[in-house]
Amino acid sequence: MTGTYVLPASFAQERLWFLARLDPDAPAHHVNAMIELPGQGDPDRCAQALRELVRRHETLRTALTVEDGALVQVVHVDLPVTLPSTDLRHLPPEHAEREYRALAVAEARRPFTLDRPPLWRAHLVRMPGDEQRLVLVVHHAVFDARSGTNFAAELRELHNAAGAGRPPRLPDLPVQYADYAAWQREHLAQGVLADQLTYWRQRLAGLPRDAGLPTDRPRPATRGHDGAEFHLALPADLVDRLEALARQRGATLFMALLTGLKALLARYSGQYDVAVGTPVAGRDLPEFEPLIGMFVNTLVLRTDLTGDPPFEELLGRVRGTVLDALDHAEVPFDQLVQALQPERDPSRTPLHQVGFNLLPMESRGQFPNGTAQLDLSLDVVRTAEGAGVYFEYSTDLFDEDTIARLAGAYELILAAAVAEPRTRLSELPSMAPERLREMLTGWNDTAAPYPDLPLHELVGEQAARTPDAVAVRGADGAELTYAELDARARELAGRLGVGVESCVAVCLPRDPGLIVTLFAVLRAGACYLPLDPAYPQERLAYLLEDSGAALLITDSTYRDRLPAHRPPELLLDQPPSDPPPTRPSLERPSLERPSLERPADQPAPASTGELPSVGQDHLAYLIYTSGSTGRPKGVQVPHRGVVNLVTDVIRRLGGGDTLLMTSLSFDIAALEIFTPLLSGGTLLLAPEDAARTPKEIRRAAEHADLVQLTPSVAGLAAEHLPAGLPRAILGGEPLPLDVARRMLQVTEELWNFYGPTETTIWSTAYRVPDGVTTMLIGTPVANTTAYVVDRDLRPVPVGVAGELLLGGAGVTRGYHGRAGLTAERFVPDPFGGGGGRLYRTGDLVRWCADGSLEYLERLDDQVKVRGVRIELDEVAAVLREHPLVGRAVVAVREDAPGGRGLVAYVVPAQSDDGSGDVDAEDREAEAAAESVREHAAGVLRAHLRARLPEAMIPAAFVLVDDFPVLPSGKLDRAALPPPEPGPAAAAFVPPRTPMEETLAAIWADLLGRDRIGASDDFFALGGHSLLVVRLVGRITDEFGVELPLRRCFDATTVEEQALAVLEHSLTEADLLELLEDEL
Amino acid sequence: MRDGQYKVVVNDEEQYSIWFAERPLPQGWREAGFDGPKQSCLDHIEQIWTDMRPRSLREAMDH
Repeated sequence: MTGTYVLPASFAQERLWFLARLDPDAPAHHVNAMIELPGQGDPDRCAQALRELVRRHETLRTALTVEDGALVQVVHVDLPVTLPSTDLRHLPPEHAEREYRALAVAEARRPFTLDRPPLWRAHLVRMPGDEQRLVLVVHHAVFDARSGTNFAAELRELHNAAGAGRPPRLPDLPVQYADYAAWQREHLAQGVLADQLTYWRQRLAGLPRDAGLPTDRPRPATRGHDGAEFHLALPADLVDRLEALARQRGATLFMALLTGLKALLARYSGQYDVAVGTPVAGRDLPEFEPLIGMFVNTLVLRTDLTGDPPFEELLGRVRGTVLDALDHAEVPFDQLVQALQPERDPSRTPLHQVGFNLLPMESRGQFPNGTAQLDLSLDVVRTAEGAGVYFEYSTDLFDEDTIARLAGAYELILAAAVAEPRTRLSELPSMAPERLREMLTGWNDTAAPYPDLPLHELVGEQAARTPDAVAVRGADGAELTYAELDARARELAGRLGVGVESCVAVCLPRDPGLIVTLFAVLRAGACYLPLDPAYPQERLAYLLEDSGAALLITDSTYRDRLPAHRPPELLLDQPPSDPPPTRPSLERPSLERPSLERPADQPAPASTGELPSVGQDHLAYLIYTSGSTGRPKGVQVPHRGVVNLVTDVIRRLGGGDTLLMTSLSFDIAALEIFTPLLSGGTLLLAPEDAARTPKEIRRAAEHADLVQLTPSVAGLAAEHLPAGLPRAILGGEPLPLDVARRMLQVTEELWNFYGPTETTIWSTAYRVPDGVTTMLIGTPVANTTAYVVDRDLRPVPVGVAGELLLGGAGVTRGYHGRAGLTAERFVPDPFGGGGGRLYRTGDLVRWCADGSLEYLERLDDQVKVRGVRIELDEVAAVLREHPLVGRAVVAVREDAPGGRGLVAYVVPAQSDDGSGDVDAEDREAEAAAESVREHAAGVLRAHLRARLPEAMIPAAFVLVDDFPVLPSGKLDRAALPPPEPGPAAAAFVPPRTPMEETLAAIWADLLGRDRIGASDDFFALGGHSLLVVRLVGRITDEFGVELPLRRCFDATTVEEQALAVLEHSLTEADLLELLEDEL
Repeated sequence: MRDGQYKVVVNDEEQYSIWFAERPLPQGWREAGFDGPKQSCLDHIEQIWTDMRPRSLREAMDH
């Protein structure tokens, strides 16, 4: 090629060339400027000046290309220069301005091809009022901010000199950019690079992967470059005082502004290890000063903000960060990335996602071109009016409102810092006082009246109003009127013989007698403890013991499933004339005398009347939830919260006929029971297994005005619900958008409710709109307050993640017999006053700008699996009770067999002290360990099954030698290995019949496995109750046989199920025929 | 709530809780005369708060 010469590229050019290759058409790395020129004189003068500039500076004649595997600069000796121009002088000024802006942005966004020079373009625009503007757009590979200053100065001088007819006064250029590139390589090779890299390796070790800024939208898997700009003007007074504060402490305005930014980032992200990138000029020799070219390097400024330091101390820390970084400023950013984070994460920029720069000029040349190089970067220019702060942000992640709030908070923090430099980080304001007021009071303005009576009195009132209306309808059609319900409850209450505030355990089938019993317990002034007969005996025994239940109400079919140790019992299916129930257990004669065997000195209770007076602060029920200490804890729920919530539900959704489908041991069942009965509707009892059987759900829900489902059940049942279902409440776990959309097809009114047991059933409500795009949990229900706070219990701004605290009428008394735990979770209300308490939910949420709440995740290890609240530590604690288990952790994984579920990780118990010699003993131990590995899963599953509810049994058990840990020493959950698909291959028995093959194929699909053997166990492979429902559906599709759900719990292998299908596909006649054949 | 120094506090209903040692008490709460690390405060409450019924309910029931 004639007229060119080839020189090595600089490191910065290598980086930009690489970035440009990643996104060839993105204009994110274009530098642009608008240079104003005097309007007189002809456009040719400007073109002439431009030609001279191009002659002087090699970079303006340079292209980049790869030769022999290395990036090189190809400098053209001569390059023709053309200057397109547009004349807007004839237009009205406003119109001209619009035209100009459109033209400038179009020029700024047009991509460059890096191997084709020039890597710049200019366009002259003649504006009304004798003004000329030169739009200059240059690729960052040959240009930086300082180049812009140099370019503009030279252009003006050339232009003016030509106008005045004098020779231009321009600086000598003893070297060119390529000389710099060569110098840089040589300089760094002399040990500078190695030394400085050592510093940075140590300085940036363990850097957080992400700045943690709360985004409006999830981060795309591959980051885009679309961006926008928000401008904040800081008043001169503030900037002057900030500069004075900095100077007093030996710091600079740059450092003080950066300290404010870091404080802002920490407050918004909750991360106190904050890294911000900043450009440094990189013109280390005086000869480089007048050049045009890419000299800028990026430094990562990382500061530790922990310990809640005062602002002035923070400023000292940031000063240290900046000075240290400047001492090690020569490592090209890309070399740093290579050394520290060589694996690329395409979703975010490496090492830092936030940038900061204080430009050494009065006005910012760069105009917005619709791109953002980072998630967020701030350019500050000092002006006569104070300072202009330009927030460039990624529009993939942020909305303008969010950045405006962030900018507002930045100014508030800086103002608070200059007003009192000793203000601690946690006390710096993060929102304006009026916004705070609105959040604390406006969004919590939920006062609404509710009746001042306990639940049973309210139903009694309803019975007086509509005695003959149907209050309860059983699954078999049996009905109870309000009058009957009330009378029977009074009658039974009189026979219970329990004191006010005592606890009565209830274990009954879901029929009208259950409802009578609950109201009888309440009438007696006691609270009910629901017992699920499906629970393992050990768990039931624990609940009975921990609750101190004074009485157990059950029937003769359930009593045999209950543990031997139990309080005195009342069998509901024995007529009242029978002798009083006797103590079932002789093992513990020390047990308190059953109160039904009444001592002679106490009067026998009358059969009706003389029932105690009960207020709203008496307990209505005791519900146990999973506890992290390994044992469930009982939440004491008074009448008040239930009356308040049900009143609000009736006000919002209307009451009416409501389906009771939820197990009573789940606190939300109370809503299903009391909503119809407090609104004069009928409580419709679903058959026991309805929640697991779509067809049953349809039948049960057919006449309901309102149903309540967990999203897991809804996901299974949505299409099976009767079309035109008036209203549905979903809650108990995060509601996936697709489930919500499917539910909106069948119901006219869909609500997403949120709330922990500790604040009574539900605490926030969201009416899900048609076309929902973001699932929210809405706003606090009546007489309920919600606050989103950081770990110091201070409110966080809109959009920022914090813990949800709940107060108001729903706050329950606490945990039964656990004063310390109650005090930890129920804390003084610092916002509402009046001595109230707030429950710390442990849920991470954030406010939306309109005052509704969005659920994000748990703060601790509590999880919801298929609607059931589970403390992972409880499962692990029970696992550790087994002698085979040394250590255990339990995790929720998406890749658990059968879909999202629990996986247990176990380090087997050590029997030796671990000497390193390989001898016979070791081999024996190894063989034993091997045997443990083979059988452990089955043994441990059986161990847990005997102690925990089905939902808490892990889908897979993984034996490991040790747990992965983070540098902090904490468990690294993300590094736990995926569960292995399947038990030992030795056990594999191929399916033998076409029916087994078909079944095995269905299983493989449901369980996400490659192959299934005839003797494999559905549950051992991760099957769970919801998968059984799908299994039954698939069997119906394939074989036309409706297998009862229970059959699949008995027949758990492929061969057993094949037999079950066969059995059900044969009619009785067929069977007889078969039998005859046999004979 | 992070670990640190706390004080045991009590409200008019004689419900106990903990609050940051260095911060003013929320309205309606008074000090119960014990402070220290978080767990010590909680252990203390476990000892002294033996009847979790709110005071007004307790008094109504005892009369």
